[in-house]
Amino acid sequence: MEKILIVDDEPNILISLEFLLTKGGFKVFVARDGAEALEIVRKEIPSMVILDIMMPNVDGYEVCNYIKNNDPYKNMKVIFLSAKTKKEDIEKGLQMGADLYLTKPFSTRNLMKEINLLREHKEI
Amino acid sequence: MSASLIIFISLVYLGVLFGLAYWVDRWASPTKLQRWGKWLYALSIPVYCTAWTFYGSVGKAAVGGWSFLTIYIGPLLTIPLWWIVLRKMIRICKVQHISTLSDFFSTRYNSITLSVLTALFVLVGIVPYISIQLKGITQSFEFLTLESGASEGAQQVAYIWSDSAFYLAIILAVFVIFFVLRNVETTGQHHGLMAALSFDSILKLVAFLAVGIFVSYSLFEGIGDIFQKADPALVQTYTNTDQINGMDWFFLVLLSMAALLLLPRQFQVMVAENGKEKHLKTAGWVFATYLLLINIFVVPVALGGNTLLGSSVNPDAYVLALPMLDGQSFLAILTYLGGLSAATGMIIVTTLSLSLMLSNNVIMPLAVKLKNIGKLSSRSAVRYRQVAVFIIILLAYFYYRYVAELFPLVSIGLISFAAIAQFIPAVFGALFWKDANNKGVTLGLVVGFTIWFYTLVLPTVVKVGLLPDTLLTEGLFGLSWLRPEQLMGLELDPITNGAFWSLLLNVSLFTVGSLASRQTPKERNMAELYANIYDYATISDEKILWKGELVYKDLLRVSENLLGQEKSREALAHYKSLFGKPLNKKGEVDSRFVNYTQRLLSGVVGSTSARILISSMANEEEIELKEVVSLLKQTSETTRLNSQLRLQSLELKRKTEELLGANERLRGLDKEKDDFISTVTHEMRTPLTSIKAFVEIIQDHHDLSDEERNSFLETINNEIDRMNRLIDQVLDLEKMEGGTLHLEKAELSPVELIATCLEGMQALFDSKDIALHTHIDDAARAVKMNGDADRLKQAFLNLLSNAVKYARDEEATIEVTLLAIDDNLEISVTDNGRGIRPENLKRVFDKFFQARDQTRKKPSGSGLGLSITKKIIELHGGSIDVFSEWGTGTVFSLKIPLELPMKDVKLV
Repeated sequence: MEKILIVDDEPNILISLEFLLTKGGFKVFVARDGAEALEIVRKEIPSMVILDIMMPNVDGYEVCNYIKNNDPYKNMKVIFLSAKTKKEDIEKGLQMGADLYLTKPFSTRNLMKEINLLREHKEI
Repeated sequence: MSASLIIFISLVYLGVLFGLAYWVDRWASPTKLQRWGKWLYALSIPVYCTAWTFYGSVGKAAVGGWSFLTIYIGPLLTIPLWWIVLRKMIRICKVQHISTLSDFFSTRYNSITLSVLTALFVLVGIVPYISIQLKGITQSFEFLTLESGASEGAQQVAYIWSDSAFYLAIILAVFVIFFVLRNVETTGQHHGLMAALSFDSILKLVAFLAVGIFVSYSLFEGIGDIFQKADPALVQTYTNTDQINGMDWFFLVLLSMAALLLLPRQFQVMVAENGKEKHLKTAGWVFATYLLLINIFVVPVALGGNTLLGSSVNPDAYVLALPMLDGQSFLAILTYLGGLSAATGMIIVTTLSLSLMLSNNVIMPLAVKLKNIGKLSSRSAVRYRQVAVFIIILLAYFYYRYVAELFPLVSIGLISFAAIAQFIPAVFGALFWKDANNKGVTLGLVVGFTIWFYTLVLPTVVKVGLLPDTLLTEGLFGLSWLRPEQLMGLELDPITNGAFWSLLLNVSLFTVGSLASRQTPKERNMAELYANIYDYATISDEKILWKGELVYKDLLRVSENLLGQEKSREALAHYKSLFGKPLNKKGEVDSRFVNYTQRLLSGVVGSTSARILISSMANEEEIELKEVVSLLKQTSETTRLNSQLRLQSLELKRKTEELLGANERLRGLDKEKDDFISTVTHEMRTPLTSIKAFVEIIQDHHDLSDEERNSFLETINNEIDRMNRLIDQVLDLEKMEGGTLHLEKAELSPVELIATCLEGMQALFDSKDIALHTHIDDAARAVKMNGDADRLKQAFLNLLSNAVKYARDEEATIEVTLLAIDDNLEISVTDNGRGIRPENLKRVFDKFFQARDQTRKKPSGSGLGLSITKKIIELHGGSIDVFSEWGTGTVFSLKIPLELPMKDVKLV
């Protein structure tokens, strides 16, 4: 089963996404902050990571940076899911190699559609 | 009482006095002296009250009538003038390094003759005054020892070396030399001396009040009782104001006004020893209170003495005799010490002041004339002073021993006052009348003193039989209008007669002489400087014109000899740092440096001697009036322009700074607002995101179990609440910060309020297994305060839920204390959770602080709670503080004043 990691410091986001992605056929891992996320990335090597940006200790940018600059994880798909809506924040995220940047509040339908697209893309 | 006991006690007293002076000079720190300065100054001024007043006031009051008060009314009337007259004298003396009256005159009127005359007149007028202090002490000493039946002392002792007054005189001279004149420089404050004088002032006041209270309430049953039992004829002199002779009163008050301002000891204490001009303000009311207190019991003691002792005892000794009457030896000794302190204080300061005049205005100028200037050194300056001290004290002693014996001493104090009053015109001229000049002053003084001598001193000589009686009864040369005590045939009181004629002629000749003759340019120069001292104070060296040739090396040598090498070099370096090299193009010393050095030398040898020294070294040139005028005019104009310019540029600078500051603040506010808005929107999006997600899940998944659906709906509901709370809190904070929040204040009981909050939280505490401890003191239990109950509850609940949030997982405790201390309510909330890191401690009250920085999982809450709590407490006039140690817990402690201003609090 495909592994996916959800990183957010807001418990309700984790709950809702976990529900959706489990239904969508993923093996779901959750992390409450960047440090926890890096641990899971290294240990489980999920194929996809949904990342919040503003988190304590290690923020989302750093996590993305680590993934995209380290060989074993390079191919992981990274989706930013953030309340930061400014243009420069989005650009910064995409420049770091993220595959997608979605702003909060987000539509679950849109998110699932994008995830499925990315999944197919990968399989191709 | 035995003589040896009294001598022993006197020596102990002197030991304490000297010890105090020594201690203050040596050990008192500058900051302490600064704090105590104004009190030492204020309490030194009552040196005005001497032994003569200590014993004599009661003696005079016992004869009847209020006239004993005149010598206190005069000084009291001067107090409103202090800020005008004394302040100006203080400023002049400080600028010109002047410490005696004779230097004050000789500098202004630019006359050495005048300085010598002043010194000699003061000497003649004041030395007898020192003598009566010695006499006062010996008399009280004899009185105490005689009462006990001791046989010695009735007659004056045969030999000087067995006369205790002689030793007292020597001891006091030694005090002056070693404690006061220790330094080479005589200007500036002598703190040890001031402390000793303050001690004296307090001692004599306490002693006199003690006697007064003893007589009024122990010997009699109150002051009313004294008046009832007293001789009705005597009482009548106090109730019948017809007894008051307007003319006599006027002159007595005038003389004592002059005395307070110009007597050498007063000039020394009030002008030379002044540390800060504003100390005059404290000194004014302290001195007024002092005079009031020391006079309260004069009449009761006088009447009581008259009733109980009558004429069996000299009324002057009532103060001592009354305690002895009742066997109160302790009180008698205290009184004796009061008299002794009154006398010693006077003798010390007067001797100091007179010796400075004698050494600086008589001995030093003679030495300059007779000796090679090169041989003058600081050692010789000090030696002249020491010699002068002994000359003065011995003059006073021999006057006391051989002359005072022959004269009735009753009015010597007033005769001294009349002598000092002769200086009124000269002082007035120096301070306020630029046209007053040397010729007028000298003429007035000489004639005034001659008449003073003729009308006031001569009669006392006649009365002891040294001159024929016919001089008094028929007048000089048999001319009846020249009778000393009835000059021009006017039948006046002797003091009034002397004061009236001497002052009349003095003032007239001073005025006429000044108007009829011209000032020298130099005198004009100083007249300008004195009259406008406030303008010239900082630039006097540039304002005094000096022209001549003076070799730089000569000047330096003299200043090194007198000031010492180190001080002299320091002064030179200071000068150079201010003005550069003190030489003009021709290699001669410029006038500014001459004036500067002269001022420095004045501190050691007095301004008159300093001037003599300089002119004896230099080839002085005459200066012309127009040069003086143009110097003063030019400098006063440039000063005016300069100060105007300086003011304007200061103003400009201030405005610019204000503008920059405002800009900075605005920019800061802008940024703060931006940050706030972006944080608020972020915090709002978070619950919105969850809500949207769950709503879509419910819409899209029809196969949800009931449990799942309910749980999601519950979450949605909670998130809506959370958003609502956030909006409320943002609005609250906005209102508080914008100043539009009105507290709904009412009387409330803090204990009840807190109990309600704790009750509401109890379920939460229980569910988290948190133990709650409360400590409330009895005072806090009873206390009521004025406040907004809802807001206070909000604040307090914030603190409690904060404590719950950060509480430890196991064995968590929360402690709430409530104390009422000094009109303040002190509340603290303590948890034993993980605490706050020191670097974050200051920021916990910042808005959204927790949202920006957390260490582990994100605690619930908006991050606005503590900001709001802080604002609420501040709106109640209180303050909140946080203390924490990482790992052991956190204490929030607040302090709210119980007395609130009743108007609505508005924050700006």
